[in-house]
This record gives sequence, structure tokens and C-alpha cells, in this order.
Amino acid sequence: MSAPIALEMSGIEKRFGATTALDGVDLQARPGEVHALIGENGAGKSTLMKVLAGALRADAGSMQLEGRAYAPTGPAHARDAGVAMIYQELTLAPHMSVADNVLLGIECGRRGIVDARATGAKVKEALAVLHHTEISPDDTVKRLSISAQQLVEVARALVADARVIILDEPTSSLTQKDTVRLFEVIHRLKERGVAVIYISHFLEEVEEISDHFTVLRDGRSVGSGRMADASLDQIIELMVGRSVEEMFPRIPHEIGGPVLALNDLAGRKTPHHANLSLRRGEILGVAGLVGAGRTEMLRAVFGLDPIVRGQVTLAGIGDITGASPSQAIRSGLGYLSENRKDEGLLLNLSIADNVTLSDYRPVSRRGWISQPKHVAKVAHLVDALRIKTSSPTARVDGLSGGNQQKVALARLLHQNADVLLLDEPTRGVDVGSKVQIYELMGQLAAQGKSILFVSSYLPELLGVADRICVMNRGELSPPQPASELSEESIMRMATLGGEEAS
Amino acid sequence: MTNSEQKRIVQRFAKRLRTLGITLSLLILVGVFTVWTGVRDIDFLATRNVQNMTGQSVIIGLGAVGMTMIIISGGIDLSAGSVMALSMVVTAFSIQAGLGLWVGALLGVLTGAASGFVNGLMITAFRLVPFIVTLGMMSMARGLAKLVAESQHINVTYPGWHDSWLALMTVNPGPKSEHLPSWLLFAPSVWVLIVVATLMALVLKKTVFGRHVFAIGSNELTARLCGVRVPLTKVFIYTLSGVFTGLAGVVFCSRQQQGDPTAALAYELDIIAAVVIGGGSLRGGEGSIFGSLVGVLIIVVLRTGLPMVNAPAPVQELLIGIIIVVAVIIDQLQHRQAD
Repeated sequence: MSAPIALEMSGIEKRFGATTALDGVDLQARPGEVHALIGENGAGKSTLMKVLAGALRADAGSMQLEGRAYAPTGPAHARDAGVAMIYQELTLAPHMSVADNVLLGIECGRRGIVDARATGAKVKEALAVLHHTEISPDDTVKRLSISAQQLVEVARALVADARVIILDEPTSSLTQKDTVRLFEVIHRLKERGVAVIYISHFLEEVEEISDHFTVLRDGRSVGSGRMADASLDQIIELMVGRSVEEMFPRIPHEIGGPVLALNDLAGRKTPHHANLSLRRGEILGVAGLVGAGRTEMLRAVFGLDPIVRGQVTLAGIGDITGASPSQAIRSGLGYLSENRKDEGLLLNLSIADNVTLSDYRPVSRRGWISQPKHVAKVAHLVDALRIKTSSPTARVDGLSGGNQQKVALARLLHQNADVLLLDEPTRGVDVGSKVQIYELMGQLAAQGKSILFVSSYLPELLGVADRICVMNRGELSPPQPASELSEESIMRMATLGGEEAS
Repeated sequence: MTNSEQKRIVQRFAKRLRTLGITLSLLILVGVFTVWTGVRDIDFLATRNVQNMTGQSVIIGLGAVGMTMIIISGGIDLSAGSVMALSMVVTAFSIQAGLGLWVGALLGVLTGAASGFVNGLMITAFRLVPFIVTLGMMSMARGLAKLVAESQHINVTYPGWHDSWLALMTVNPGPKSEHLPSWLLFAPSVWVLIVVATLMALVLKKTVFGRHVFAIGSNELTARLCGVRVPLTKVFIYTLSGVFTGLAGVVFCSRQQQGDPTAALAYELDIIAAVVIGGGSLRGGEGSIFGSLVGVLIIVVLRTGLPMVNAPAPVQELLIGIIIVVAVIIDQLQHRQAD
């Protein structure tokens, strides 16, 4: 514990308008150690890291870098001071060489003329430190794999002599093998005395690589310590602010016969082969990496994306392959978009319009809407879902994320959907609303509705779903009972594929 | 919660303030011109002048009713002026061809509807931007109008024209016009506009179709996701708007007693300006028929009042331009507040 401190952030506050993103966050990172920053979406991780990397300025609080006061005026200043951020979305120039990318902005040479030899040598040295000499400084970046491109970013941070390197969700698009390679690189960075701040959703991965951790919740640091001293359940508890049992209320529901069947479904890009059978009263979880084809599968079933091959059948209705969204809705399907701001909701219209848009029939006659009926119908759902608002005619953009999501769910209840396709239903939602959404899903299943539940947050999949299947690069694994799976086994299937894992 | 409630109140207040604001601006503008012309011994509010202004408002007003619906749906129609000219020419041509007034007027309206239908079809079938499609239609309709009229004015020489219903559409009631009772106050075409506008305001507010128009403009992806048949609705929007544009062309023909292929040049700009001044957002999802009509009146009052106080024509253009920019700035500020 006598190790000096590379980075100390204390009392960091950041407000956006009326919302408080960071409310007094403390974080200490030591050189040669990996410090995990853990928290749910919206907890303030990326805001905190943007403050550290100079992309945002804190409203209050102070930072020290290797004992000296540090207040970056911008990303360039932060880089010069020794802080490098590696974003999830890589920020490389794809048409330029590895060397050009590594030295972008810090080119060797004089009077604007690049010294090619010095450049090459410097980049080679950095790649050697990372033990990845197979990457040549002359390679064009766009020809490299994603994981190699990531190494180029790490090399860039090394050449800039970064003392603190932030890795934001670095494994979200890597295979298991590449993840192992990345972990080796992180060990090299540790040996060099770099302080690594590691942000990830995958708790088991975090547990493996990190020495210390800090948990953020609602913009506050709610816990920190040595990884070796904490269990995953304790960390989840810190993240969500309640115990695991309270978080995922189990509502008993009876599972019946098959309702929705996908038979070798293929979309234009993904999925390639999707076979599944969703049963009445069942919550079927779909895990997988971002971009694996889970969203695309739901969209194809609902008629939002074209189906190239395969069949969708619905019990009692028959073949609904290639139905339009309006036909899908009339057949009893309901789709909740993962992107409620861009696709799910009409932000500048009222709650009432948002809820009834998919079916105005119950509140209209011959095309004319009865406003009193409309408001009454929606008010009922607002109460049932505990949507916090002053009136059903309030605009949706004034609501919090959790309440907005409940509006999107209220639409599915309004149209009386029998099969619910829920894509990341708790993304960007506060913990209280999350629990309510899990409860609602349980209640719907108990009423005999069937739910296809796509999520990237493994604890909720394990806590809520009856069975879980995993999408890996467009291939859907056969479902397995949730009780037989762990975060680790799901991750292995999501990155390696079912056959290799077993 | 209190925060979102505050926001809601601010939003609601801002929206009302906007409608109230432009109505107030119109009244102030009328007041200014009344005093200003009064100094020069001209009565701005004289019956004749008011009738004249409302008469002029009809053509732009009918266009604005359709344009409001299009702009709410997130689109734009640059072909409105040209299509009006085409409808006007088709009406005059048909009457001269001996088809009679009713058929002539009907064909004029149908011409507008057909142009709108083609606009809507191209936008949806080929997924083209409304701006480009209607820019093309602007040129096509103008060219077609010139072809039909052989680049000349088609004068209507219908026997008994001055006593016919079509001519009387745009005649102001008064002691000189024996056919129109004085209780009518305005020319019949003004009443046509009032009826059409009221109906459309109700349709937009109270019908499923109207809510779909708002939904498409607010977020087309959401509309699709909710099962709104977006392409069909869009084609209908442009066709219906075309009906109003065609009607404006017929009214134009009634006023001028001719088909002029160069008429209504750049009217679409006045129409779009009126909608924007009236609170329509070019981002879609917002706008009102009432606001747009107040916008039309503001433009017409300026265009009528400024010459009466001897303001040179360039000053009119300048002023109207400034007003449009100010309207857009207000819209922008309001949106920033909402975010």
C-alpha cells in the first residue's frame, strides 16, 4: 500500500443543465496497477473519464497527476500531461499506416517534414514493448483486425508516454482469444508502471484483470477496494444499491406450449441461422456481443428488416414471415426498440400519443379520436406502470429515462401484445425503474404472455430469464436453462461460439 | 419530477406564447400601418383594403394549409407556386375548350392532386428527399404550364363570365356587386379558405390520420415501428396538399380571368415563410393551421401596407426576410430550451 499514487480524483462534480451526472466522485489509481471502474449505464463512468481525458471540464473537485495538480483544458492538454483514453469506438485514420496513426499529432521531424526513419523506429519500439512485432509500422490500418487496431491505439498511448491509460469497454467487440491477447498487453503496461483504468460491463473479466476497483452509482463513488477482497455479488450490490434477490424479483409463472417459432431465420447481414421456440408464459433471454445480430433478429421477426431465408410462425396465426410492422402488431407482436430516443419514442409529442400510436382503434370512431377516452385510457396505464408525470398529455422529452421506457412499454400493453420482443428494456434506466420493469415482465409472463428478452447485461439475463440462448456472429445457440449458466459460460459462448465452448 | 414538471409548464407556456406572440405581432403590424397610413390620409382599415388583403391571402392561404401538413410531416413542397400556375392554366384551357366552368375547375383541382400524388410517389417509392423531388416538380409543372398555354396567357372568354359563379368567387361583396349579398363581408373564396382551414385544423388535431402526420414528422422510425403505414400516409399527405394547391390555382384563374403560366412565381417561398412564421418547424412534428394563417396575414399586410406608405419594393423584401430569420431564431431558441 506504499505505492505512490499516479492519479487522484477527488470530489469531482459535473452538471448538465438540471441533471447531476457526477456528484462528488473520488478515485485513486496507482502506477503499475489496473483499476476497474464499474457501474451501470448512466452511473457516470464515461462522464468521469471524459473529465479525466480533458473532453469535459468538471464543475467542482480536483485532480492530481503524479502529485501535481492537473486540470486539463482539452484533450490535447491531457495527452501532453500523460493521460490517454482509448475509446470503445476506435479513433484511427483507416487509410493511413500504423506509424502515421501512432504518431498522429506528434510526428517526428522538423519544419513540417516527417522523418520517416525516426518515425518507423519509434513505432517499432512501442510495438515491441507490447510484444506485438507482427504488426508492421507500414501496414495500412484498415487492413488490420479490430484487436490489432486496438493495439495501435495502445501503442499510440505508449509513444505519447502516457502515465494513465483509460480503456473503455475494450473487449466489447473482441473474441475470447483477442481478449487474452489484450490482457497480456495490459500486463506489459503494468510492468512499465502505467496506471490502467479499465471500464467494462463484464464483471468476471474485471475480476480477472483488475487489482483495485471503484464502483459508481448515480454519479457517486459508492465503494472501492482491492479486487481480491470483494466478491462479485458484493460488487453487483454496490452497483445497484440493493441485494441480488431484491434486484430480480421472481414472479412464479407457468410455461406452456410453443408460441413463436423461428426456423433457420436469416437477415440480410445477421442473423445467419436463428432457430428458436418461445413458449407461452416464458421469458427467453438472448445474450451476445453488441453487433452479433440479436437486434437484427428481433427486427426481422417484427418486419422492420427484410428476411432473406427461413420462417417465422406464430401459434394460432401461422406463417408470418415477412409481415409488415402493422401486420406484426395485429398478429399480437410487440417490439421495444433498444434505442428509445432515436426510434422508440416521439419525444416532442405527448405520452398519450406515444402510447396509442400503434393502435388508435380503442379510442377512436371512424378515424376521429375521442380525446376524453384517449386520456382516460392512457391515464390508466400511467397509473398501472407508475409513470411519474403530472398528466398523460405531458410531453415525453420531459420525463426521466426510466419513465420514458415505461411509456414505450405502456404502448405494448395498450396494443395488448401477446409476444413481446424487448430489446435492452432496461438500458439507460434508473435502478428503481429497472426492478419495476423486471416485475412487469414477470407479471406478463404470469398472464401467459411470452417475452423474448435481449440484453447485454448478464446479471439481469441470469436473474430474470427462464432460458437463455446466445447469439455469436449471427449464429444462435440452442437455449439452456438460466440456472445452468453463469456470466462466464455465457461470455465464452458469446465470444467463442457454442461448439468450441462445450 | 418537479424538474420535469417545470419543463412541461415552460414548454406549454412557450407554445401558447408563440401563437399569442405572432397574433399579437399581426395586430401591432396592422396598428402601425393604420397610424402610418392615417398620417397620409389613407384608411388602412377601409373595407375595400381589408377585402383586398383577405382576397390576396386566399391563394397563399390555401397553399399554406397544405404546406403546414407537409411541414408537420417533416417534408417540404417547393413546387406549390408552379403547380398553382399549372392548375390555373389547365382550368382556363378547359373552359376555353368548351368543357364548362365546373369541369374546368374540377380539372384544375385534379391537376394539383395529380402533381401532389407524383411528388408523394417519388418521395416514397424511390426514397428521395422531398426537397429534390419537389424542386424537380417545380420545374416540370412550370414547363408543363407553358406547354399547355403555348407560353402565352389563355384569356377566358366565357359568355357571361362576370356573372358566373367562378368569377364571383373572387368578387368582394358591396354596393357595386349585385350578385353577392353584403352580409357575406368577404369574397366567397375567403370563405372557402376559412372552411378548408377549419376542417384541416380539426383533421390534424382530432383524427388518426392527423396524429400519424405528427408522428411521421416527429420521428419516422417510431411511426414505422408503431405500424403506421408511412409511405401510404405520405402519398396521401402530398396528394391532399395538391388538392389545396389546385384549388388555389382555380381561385387564381377566377381572379385574373385567364391562365397565366408565369403566375404564382416563387409563391412557395411566401407559403413556406408563412408556415415557419406561424410556428411550423422544418424539423417536422410541429406546426398549426391557425399559426400558418396568421403568418400568411403578416406577409400580406406587409406586402400591402409597405407600398401604401411609399416604402420601396427592396425594403419589403428586406423586411420579410428579416421576419423569416427572426421566426426561425425564435424556433431554434425554443428548441434549445426544450433540450
